[in-house]
Amino acid sequence: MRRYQAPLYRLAVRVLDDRQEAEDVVQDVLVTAWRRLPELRDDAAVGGWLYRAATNRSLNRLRDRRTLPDDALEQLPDLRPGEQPQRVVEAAAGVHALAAALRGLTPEQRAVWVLRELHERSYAEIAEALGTSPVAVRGRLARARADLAEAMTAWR
Amino acid sequence: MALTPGERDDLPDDERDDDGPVLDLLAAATAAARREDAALVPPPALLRRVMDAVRADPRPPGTPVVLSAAPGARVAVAEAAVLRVVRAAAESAGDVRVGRCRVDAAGGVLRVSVAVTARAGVPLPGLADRVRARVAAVAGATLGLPVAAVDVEVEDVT
Repeated sequence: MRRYQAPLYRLAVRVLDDRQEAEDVVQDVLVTAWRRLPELRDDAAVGGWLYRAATNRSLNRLRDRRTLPDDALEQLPDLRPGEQPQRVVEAAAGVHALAAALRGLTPEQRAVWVLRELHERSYAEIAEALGTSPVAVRGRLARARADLAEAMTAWR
Repeated sequence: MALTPGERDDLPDDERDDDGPVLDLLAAATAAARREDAALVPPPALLRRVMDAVRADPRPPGTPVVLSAAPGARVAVAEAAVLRVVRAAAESAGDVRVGRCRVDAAGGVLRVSVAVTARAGVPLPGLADRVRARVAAVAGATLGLPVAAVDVEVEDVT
């Protein structure tokens, strides 16, 4: 449980873009996992189950949230470099630009991209987490990368 | 994290010959996001809340299996322990690894369903029979309950 809480928290923070909600999701997943522990035996099964549960719960929250006004976008500082020295701000601003670009993806695309690029999960594992096929994962990942690259270009 | 040529169709024309910097930018931002993630630790309160919730409900999941309901001599076994017995019994058949496992002891008989991964090349009907026989014999004897059903689902072959 200690081993998984940090990766699951990072995943939920990236997908939800909200630390409080991410905490709620991870707490919920870990409590449920604890109760189901006897059913989840080997390590691989536990990891897969936890990633699937955390991904699904995060996506469900995003679906619920979609009906609410999207204040989150307003909070985003305008990070166009402007007159700031390009080199200095580039690394830090690049992360913010990426975060902004990630918000522009659909929740499913974002989940696929985060699971693959930040959590290095295999296509098969991501497919399992999202209840889809590895081929569909490959397609969504390609789409997500292309959209991100395009958004980053616009920022530049 | 290079894009494959097929994916470049999504980029504007003027990016096709010169998308190196853009991809470098995305790759650099991705690497930076990984470092940022590595530094992001869940607040300690999170694990504390999880443990509090778990302790508030400390009984093992599932219904205990009642081996004897005799007043003054009741014997009940936690479901987790029953599952362990059933798993060990099924795996003693050989050529098989047990995944999900469920038990139901309603009516004083044990009904079991196990999902297994079989060794490649082993004939599956015979394997299922051996698993069934081992569960009926070993789990039945260990728990002292007649085993009324053993459903076997082969979910993978390795």
